[in-house]
Amino acid sequence: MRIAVISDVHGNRLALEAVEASIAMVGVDATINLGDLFAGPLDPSGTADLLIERNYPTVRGNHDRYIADGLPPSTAPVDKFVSERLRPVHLDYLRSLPATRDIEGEVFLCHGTPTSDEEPWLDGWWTDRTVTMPGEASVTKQAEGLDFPVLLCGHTHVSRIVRLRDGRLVVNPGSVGLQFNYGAPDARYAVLERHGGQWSASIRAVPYDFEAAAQQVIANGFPQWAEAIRTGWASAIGLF
Amino acid sequence: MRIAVLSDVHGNLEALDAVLDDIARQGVEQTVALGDFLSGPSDPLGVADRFIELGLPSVRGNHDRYITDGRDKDWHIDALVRGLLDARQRQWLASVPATLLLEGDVFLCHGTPRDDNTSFMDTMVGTTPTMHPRDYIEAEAAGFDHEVLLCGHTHVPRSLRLADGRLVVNPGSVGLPMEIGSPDARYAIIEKRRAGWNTELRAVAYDHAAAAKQALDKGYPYWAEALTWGWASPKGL
Repeated sequence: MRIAVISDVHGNRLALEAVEASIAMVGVDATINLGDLFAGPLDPSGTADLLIERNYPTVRGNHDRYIADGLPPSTAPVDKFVSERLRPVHLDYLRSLPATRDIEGEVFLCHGTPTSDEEPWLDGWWTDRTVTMPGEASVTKQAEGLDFPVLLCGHTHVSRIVRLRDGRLVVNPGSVGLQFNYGAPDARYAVLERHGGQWSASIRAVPYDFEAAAQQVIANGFPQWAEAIRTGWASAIGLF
Repeated sequence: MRIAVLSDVHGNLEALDAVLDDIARQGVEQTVALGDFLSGPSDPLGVADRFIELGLPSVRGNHDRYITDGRDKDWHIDALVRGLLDARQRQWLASVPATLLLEGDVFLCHGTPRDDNTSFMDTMVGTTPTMHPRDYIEAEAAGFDHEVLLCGHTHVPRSLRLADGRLVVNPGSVGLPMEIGSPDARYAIIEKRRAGWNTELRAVAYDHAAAAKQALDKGYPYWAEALTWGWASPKGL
């Protein structure tokens, strides 16, 4: 059993296509998606068309919620830009997504933590322009009461593989479409594999035409995104 | 071109053999090793014999150098291993170079290209592992104009792209997880495709309880703790 895990595509269809090509070469039984699908000043409607066609098992991210519900954060410049470009069918799709779900009782999906789509789980990066490993107590606490061998989260854009003391695996695949604080523009995703009842994980970094993606954000009037897209080093502050 | 990269085995034969089994299923053309082979209590001599048998392209780590050359403030473990090695094992360890350039323009080092005891991308200073600033990493890579720079030492897996497109990869540690939140053995596979080098950072579940028991039986309970949970700080080792 092999499952590809993607997250935080953020409207970057070029990065998504590169990741899908990589997944096709790996050969998986399923692909699943942890949210923040369209919220980026790149190609939100093109990304929406592709992801709706794919119909991967998906949970909603915080930006998906802001856009779908028309909540105040959706008036933030990026969410506003994206909302204006999405068609009703795209918004209906976002509204149909659950906050959490599981795959056959084996794999649990959420965006941030099991109880919040805005809280980070496996990284505490937004205290500074870097990545920081959180402590064991905080990581373990978020997993309380969730009886699944694999717990998946996104949101921080930082890929990590953690194994709790009871053997459960917690994995963040990183971000497909928006790298920051992390030192590489390459698109990220994860692959889960089950051998003899034991789950393990790997993180993949895939080069793609990030310069073409940077040209999209510049053309769309969001030049502050270009550094993140080109280098992977920018801070998340000021992007949205 | 598809290459498996392993590093920082630290005397853990259980983890090394699990990684070698996993590599055998991944269809790689070559496997390379980035040093700190033996410094650990579990089974350093078994690891030495395995590497002698495999003959992998390898570079030496700082602890390999301490074992062969000695140093003022020895780790207990380095002194222990130095006393255990036979002539053949000592000769092998002393023969491993500090850096190596593979065909395909892939450069191997342990810490940074210039120093086996300097961390390249991550820093373990303080209590929270984090990354070095971009300028620091770029400066350490300056002058080493190769498509891929492979390094170990920090035990933190990472795939980073320098401003000019060169890739820097740390596969993490096969045998000694530190502040990473998992006992699984880590290694990497790099692969050159049409669009450039891809990286795969793998975490392999293995019988870490057996490796921890070996450490405990030899009187190293803190090592056993590190091997069992993967949250230990390097400070206590």
